[in-house]
Amino acid sequence: MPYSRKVETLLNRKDVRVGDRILLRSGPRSYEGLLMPKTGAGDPDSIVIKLDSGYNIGLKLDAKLSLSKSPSKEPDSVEEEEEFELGRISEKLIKLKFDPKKPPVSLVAAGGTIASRVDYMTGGVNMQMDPREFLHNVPELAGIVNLKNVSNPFNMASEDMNHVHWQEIARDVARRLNSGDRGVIVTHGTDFLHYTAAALSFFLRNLTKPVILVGAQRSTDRGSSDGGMNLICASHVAKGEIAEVGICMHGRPDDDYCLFTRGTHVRKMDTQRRDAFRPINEYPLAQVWPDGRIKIKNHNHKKRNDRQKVRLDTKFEPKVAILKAYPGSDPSIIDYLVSKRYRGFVIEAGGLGHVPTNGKGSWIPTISKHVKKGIPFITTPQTIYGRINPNVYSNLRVLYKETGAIPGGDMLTEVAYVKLGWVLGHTRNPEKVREMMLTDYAGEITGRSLAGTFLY
Amino acid sequence: MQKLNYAKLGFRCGIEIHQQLATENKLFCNCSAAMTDHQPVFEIRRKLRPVAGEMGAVDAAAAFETLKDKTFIYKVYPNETCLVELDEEPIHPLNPDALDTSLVISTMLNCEVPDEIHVMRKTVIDGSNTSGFQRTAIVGMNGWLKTESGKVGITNVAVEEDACQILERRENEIVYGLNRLAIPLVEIGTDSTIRNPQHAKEVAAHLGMILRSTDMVRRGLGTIRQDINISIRDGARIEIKGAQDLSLVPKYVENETLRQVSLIQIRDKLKKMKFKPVKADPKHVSHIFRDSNSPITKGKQTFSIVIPGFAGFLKTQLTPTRTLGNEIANYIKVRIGARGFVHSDEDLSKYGLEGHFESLRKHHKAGKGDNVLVVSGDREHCRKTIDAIVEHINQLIVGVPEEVRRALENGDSEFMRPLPGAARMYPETDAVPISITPKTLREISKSLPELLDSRIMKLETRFRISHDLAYQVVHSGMTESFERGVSLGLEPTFVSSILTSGLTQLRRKDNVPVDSLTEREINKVLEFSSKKKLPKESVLEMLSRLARNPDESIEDLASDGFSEEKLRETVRRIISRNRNALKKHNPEKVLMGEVMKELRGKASGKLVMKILSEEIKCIRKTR
Repeated sequence: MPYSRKVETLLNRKDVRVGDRILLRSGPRSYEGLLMPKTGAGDPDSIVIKLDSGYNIGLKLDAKLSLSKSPSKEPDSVEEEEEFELGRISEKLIKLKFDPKKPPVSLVAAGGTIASRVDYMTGGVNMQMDPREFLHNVPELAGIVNLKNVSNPFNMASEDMNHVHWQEIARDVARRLNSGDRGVIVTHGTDFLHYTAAALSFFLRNLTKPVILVGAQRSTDRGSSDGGMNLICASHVAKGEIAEVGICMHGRPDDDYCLFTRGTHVRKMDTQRRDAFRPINEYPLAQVWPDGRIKIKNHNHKKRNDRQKVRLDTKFEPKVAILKAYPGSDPSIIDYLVSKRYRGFVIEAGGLGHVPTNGKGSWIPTISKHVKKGIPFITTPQTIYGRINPNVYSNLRVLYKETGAIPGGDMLTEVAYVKLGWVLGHTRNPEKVREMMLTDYAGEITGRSLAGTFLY
Repeated sequence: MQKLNYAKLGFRCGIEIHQQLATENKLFCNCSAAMTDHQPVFEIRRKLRPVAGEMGAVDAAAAFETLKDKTFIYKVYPNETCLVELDEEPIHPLNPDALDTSLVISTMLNCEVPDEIHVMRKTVIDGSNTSGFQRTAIVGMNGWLKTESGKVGITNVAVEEDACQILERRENEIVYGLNRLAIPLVEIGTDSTIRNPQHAKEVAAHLGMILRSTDMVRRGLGTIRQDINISIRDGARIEIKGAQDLSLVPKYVENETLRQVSLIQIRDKLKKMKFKPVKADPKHVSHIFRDSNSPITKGKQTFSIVIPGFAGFLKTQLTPTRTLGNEIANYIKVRIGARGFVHSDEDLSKYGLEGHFESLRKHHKAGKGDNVLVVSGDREHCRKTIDAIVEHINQLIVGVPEEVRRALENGDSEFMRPLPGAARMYPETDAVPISITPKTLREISKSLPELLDSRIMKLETRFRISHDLAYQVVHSGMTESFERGVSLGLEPTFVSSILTSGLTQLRRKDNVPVDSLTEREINKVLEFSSKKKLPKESVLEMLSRLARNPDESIEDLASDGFSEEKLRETVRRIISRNRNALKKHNPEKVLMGEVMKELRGKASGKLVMKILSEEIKCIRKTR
């Protein structure tokens, strides 16, 4: 929210711009400071200035208030502050030098908190950071890898992305890997990071090098940001032996180690914590410490082979919907979506895979009708943990045997969504779709449910 | 030492007070601010990273801290820590009670309140805040305060988060408690027009009195901290941190002024001598000390350096308890953790190194006017120590460096770190600006608390009691109960001793939860006493009983034996049960134990003894 029209008019009349030093008088009160932009919230009639003490205050524009440009110059100490405050990128950046003898690794910077700075226009955290700039906050990288290339296809919050962005990231990653890099790090927003992780897992075929997605849960303006350590750990993984797509973020609230978790078995499980990204239905691939130690936690992973080339396969059908079955839910929403040309559905089902089956609210007739017309329905557990089992109860048998829904095994809803879009990008033949959905392409379906993986 | 004329010295001094507010919750979350959790349940380990980039360089203080490469360990307390303190969750809205209290304080200090309050992030990277910054907001500016010695301006009043408490310092780790983090604080800064040490004390005392007058600030050790800023002409701004004891404030001010005066004199003397900056060029002299048994040099490498013309300087007194030698040794301790050095201005006989220094002088061909310094340890350590010593000696020619110093219990201070530049400050984007309307301010002005000083004066004149007594009553926060008790006809000294020292004794000595007593309960007990339903001697027992058993009523307890009549009944009953005892030599002594078994907690032993002997006498008479 900007200043009110009343304030804007006054500012224009006085020819005053954000960053100008101004004098505000109101009765006996008199203050001097830099005019700040209006932050996202607060009274639009309050003019915000930054005092020489560094503090911001707001003064309400009313009949008593007068504003003028200040004739005096600010104290020297304020100048540097001002540069920071107004978000001007400093020219004084230290040049990070990389050692060509270290393993070549590239970085694809795709926005998110990890590449953010405080934005004074909206009062929020904005993704505007020059990728070179945030690397300056992590000079340790130069001691681990030779960062050869930083590409910046877009700067975007993860909630604003779709499959087109996944395809762009995948193209950048494949190009770097096939031109000799040992691994690629992708920096990214965290809210929908696990969707991108799943997408890259399916898009990058014959992957024999590590691809690591990294984000930050705390913005980089603060000394406590987790982004730096996440990047350091990711660069250790990038030169390591695990040839998988995965997410590398804090394993605990401590700045102790990160978990590197397979891109198809990881999910953001908390809105705010550093250790929000947890492995689901599987152990993490490895524990990684910032000093370079890597402890393998899951031997079921591909090993590095630098002679192979990655093959890009990014075909994708975006008309796929995720629906949740819940008590009293109305299946006619499916009819509506089909009329809008939706071509496949992921149903988040209860328990072992139930949707309302008997009585008036049954989903069975609707699903049955559309399956017969060749539209695939795949179920995933809304319990998040565990596996769909089509055989235990008679209601399950009705859904999977008689109606023809596809049981998603222990696939996460988000992964099933990405995978169905990817499969439908290749074929619309129902039998082929079923076969592909039940085939493990990127470690998304595990054969065994291990006791220690629950709430890991 | 020299007598100081503060006005002539260009003395400038200001005080900054940090006072915890007595809110139930913390400033930005719903954790308890009580600091009563004593057992941490777990801990987390964190690092802080310097945030370069935006400003190109991190400022001197920031670099200094990060050079130390520290790990921070944070202890988590169950009722006093949530994800907000752990920097794992964005803040909740600013605590309205804390805002209210800080606005009251701001108004009492005649400050201007901004129309809109903005929470800022102030960069702090010593680990004392998990986020790497402290949240702070200005609630008042340009106020003033009057004391006997004159008026002082109030520059800023801010409401802010308290920092974590240091529980332990280890080699590369600092252990912090998260329970103190984000307890609401009000920070008050005066301008630098304080005139002399006594004035500093007056200002600090007056500020403290105003704060306590609100009845909304925390009391007790560590709940108020004052920093003192001092400079003189040609000297430098020095911030003395953590002055807890008000009576020491004048001493801190005087000693710091002395220190700066002495440093300026040293500088002038060196200039006159045309003293040249020294190069750190340590010589390996272990062979000279080979036969020494001193623990300082034994089994270690020893290096030495000669400072030409510097003899005698290190024993210059900067303050009555501090020589220049002490001062430099302290820098070395803080900066490189070294134990220090030995120099030729010291009494070398206490180390048994006189002979060795003689040889050393010959070895270096050093004259009497030169100072010879020795450092022992491994090579790297010695090199670093000598570098630092030389740096500080060369600084003497330049003048007084700006520093943050720690207040010591003897009224002196010691180096903590260089004075940081203005902390980087930027908006706390997770907080919404708060509008303060003229109506809110009018309401606050209308109901400002009466100052403690004026409350004390009123009590003195109204009840004709001494200033000390009135002071105690007012400071215990028991004025109303006191007034009630006295108006019921009880002796002022009796009521005040119950309400002040009496309750304090119950709390401290017997661990009675007296704070759970309501004002109504206390007043009722006083009423019972005034109506003779409760003997004076049993008033404290009754209060203690009520505090421990909140379910019991005064009426029941009084009729259950607290009144003298009831006590007498019990005593008579016990005597009649133990008639044989009356035949013994000292029946009071024999029976007292039996009687107290029943009456403990209802009446004082003194009262019971009195009743018991009266009753025994009575029985004997009737015989």
